[in-house]
Amino acid sequence: MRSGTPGFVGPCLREAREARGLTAVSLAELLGVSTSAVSQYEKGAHSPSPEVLERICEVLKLPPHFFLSEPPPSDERPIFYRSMSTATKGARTRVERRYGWMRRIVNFLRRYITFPPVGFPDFGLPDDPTAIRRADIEQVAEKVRRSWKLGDGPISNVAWLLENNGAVLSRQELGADELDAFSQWSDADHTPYIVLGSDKSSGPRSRFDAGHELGHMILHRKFKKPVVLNNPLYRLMEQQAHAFSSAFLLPAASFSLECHRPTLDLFRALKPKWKVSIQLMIRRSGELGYLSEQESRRLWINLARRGWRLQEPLDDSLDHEMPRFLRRSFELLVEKGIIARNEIPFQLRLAASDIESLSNLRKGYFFEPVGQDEPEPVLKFPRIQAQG
Amino acid sequence: MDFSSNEPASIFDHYVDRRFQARSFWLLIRCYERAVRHCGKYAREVAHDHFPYHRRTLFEDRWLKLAKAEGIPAASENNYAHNCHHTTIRIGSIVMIAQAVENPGDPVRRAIFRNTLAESNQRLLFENQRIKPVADSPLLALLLHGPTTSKVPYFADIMFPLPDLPGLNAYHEERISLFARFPKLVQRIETPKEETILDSIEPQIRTDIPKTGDDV
Repeated sequence: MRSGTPGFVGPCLREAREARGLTAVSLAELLGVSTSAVSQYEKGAHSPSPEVLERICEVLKLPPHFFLSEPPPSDERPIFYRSMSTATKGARTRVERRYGWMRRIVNFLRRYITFPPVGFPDFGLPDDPTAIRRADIEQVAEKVRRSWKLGDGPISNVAWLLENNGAVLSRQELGADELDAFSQWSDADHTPYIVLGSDKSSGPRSRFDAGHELGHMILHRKFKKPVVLNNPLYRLMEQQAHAFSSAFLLPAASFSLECHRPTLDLFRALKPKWKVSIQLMIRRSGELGYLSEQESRRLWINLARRGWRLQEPLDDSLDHEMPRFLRRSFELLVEKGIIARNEIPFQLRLAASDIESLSNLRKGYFFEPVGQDEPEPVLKFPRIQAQG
Repeated sequence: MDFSSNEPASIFDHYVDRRFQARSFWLLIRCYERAVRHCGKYAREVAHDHFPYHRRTLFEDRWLKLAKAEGIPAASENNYAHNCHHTTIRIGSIVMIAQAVENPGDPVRRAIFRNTLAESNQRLLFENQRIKPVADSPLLALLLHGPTTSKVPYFADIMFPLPDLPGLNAYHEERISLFARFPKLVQRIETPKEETILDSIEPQIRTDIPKTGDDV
C-alpha cells in the first residue's frame, strides 16, 4: 500500500459522496484520480494520500475527521418516502445519507438535552397494511386529534404539533423535485423522525406532507419490512397515509359545516383558514360525498382552466411551518455555555453548513462572533487530529 | 366639514356610526346562518339553488327593518326593469346597498340602478379633490360579502365603486373590512375554530451531562 492516511474509513467516503449526490465517476473526475481509485478508497482496500484527502475534503465540503471514524449504524426500520414514483434511487440515497447525519446530530444533542416525551398514540393497528380498512383510517385520524386534545377545527401549526408530541422534525432541501418528505420510526430511541422538503412545495402542500408522514407513523409503525417503491403494498400504504392526512387536516364533522355546495371560489376563501390546498379540498369533498363525480370533474377542469393546478392562489402568502426544537437545542447549549459554538461542528465531525441546514439554524451560525454575554464553555473537548 | 376625494372611508365613518355598522354586520352573519338552517330541510341540490335567494331575501328585509328601527331613512327600491327590489339606506351623503360576490373585490353584476347610483362617485376618480358632502351629492358605499355558496361569510367589506368601470379595479382603493373592524363578532360566527398549537416546547439541559466529550 502506498503512503495513505492512517485511520481513513472507506465507507465514510461513500457516505459523503452519496450525501452530495455524486457518482464515483464524477467524484473521481473532481479529484483527478481514477474511478477505480475511488472504489478502492471506499472499500477500504487503499487509503488516499494526505493530498488527496485534502482534495476530498474540499470537494465534498467536509472536515478531515469526518473520514477518520466509523459511521454510526443505521436504523433497520423502513423509511417511508412521500415521493413520486419517478424519484431516482440516487435522490433517495442522497437524502438518506443526510438523514443519517441528522440522526448523528440528534444523538449528539441527546447527551445534553432532554427531548420531549413521545406522545404518538398506538391504537394496536395490525402490522399488515392490507388489514387496515378505509373507515378505520377516518376513526384513527379522529382519535389522534382527541389523544392530543384537539377539537375538529383547523390546526394552526402542524409542525409544532408534531414536535410538541415528541417527533424529531427537520425541514431540508431534498434536492429532488420528486421528493417531498419522508419519515422513519426509530427502534433505537423509539422516536418518530420526520423530514419535510423545503425546495418546491407550498406551505399548504407541506402541511399535507406532514400529515401524510404522521399517517405513516401512526398507521404503519409496526411495519418492519423494507419499503419497495412502486409495488402494490407501497402504493396502498401511500394511499392510506394520504387518506389519513386528509381526514386529519379536514375532519368530516367540521369541514362539512363550511359549505353548502363546494365551489372553487369558496375553497379559495377557505384556504387561509384551513391552510390546505384547494386541490385537497376538492378531493376531500368528493370523498365525503359533498360532490358528485360529475361535479368533481367540473371543478378539476375549472381548476386547470384557472391555471391553479400548477400555482394555486395564496400559495405565496402561506409560509412553510418551521420546526424549532433542534435549532433551539443548539442555541441553548451555546447560550448556557455548555459547548462553544465553533466546537460543535468539530465534535459532530460534520460541516457547519450541513449542521445548520439540518437543524434549521441560520446560515453561518457556528462562525458568528462570540457574543459578549456568551459564557465560557463548561465542557472542554480533546481535539481529534487527522493523523498522517 | 369637507373631505378629500382620497378618503371615502372617512366620509363613510363620519356619517354611519359604528353601532349601525356592527349591527348590519351581525345581521349579515345571522342571515347566512338562518338561511343555512332554512335550507337544511331541502335536498342538497335544491338547497344549493335556493340558499343564495333565501339569504338575500332575509338580509334585504331585515336590513330595511333594522335601519327603520334606528330611524335611518331606508327604502326597498325597484330596479330599472321593475323585476327586483333592493334595500337602499341613506345616511347623510352615504347611500348603501349590499351585494354578494365570490371573492373580495370582485366586480358586481352590471345593473342600471347600481351604475346610476355609482355615477355620483365620479369625484373619487380625481385625486385630492375637496368634497363637500351634501345630500344631493351622494357617495355610494357597497357592502360586498360572500362567497355566495358559503354557509358563513368569509369577507364583508364596505367598498366605494368607481362609476361605470367594469372589471376588478372598479373600486376605490380604500375599503373597510368589517371582519377586521369587528373581531368580536367574527368570533361568534358558528364555524370551526382554529386549534391553536402553542409554541410551548423548550429544550431542557440534562442534569447528568458527561464531563468530557466522547465520540459521536
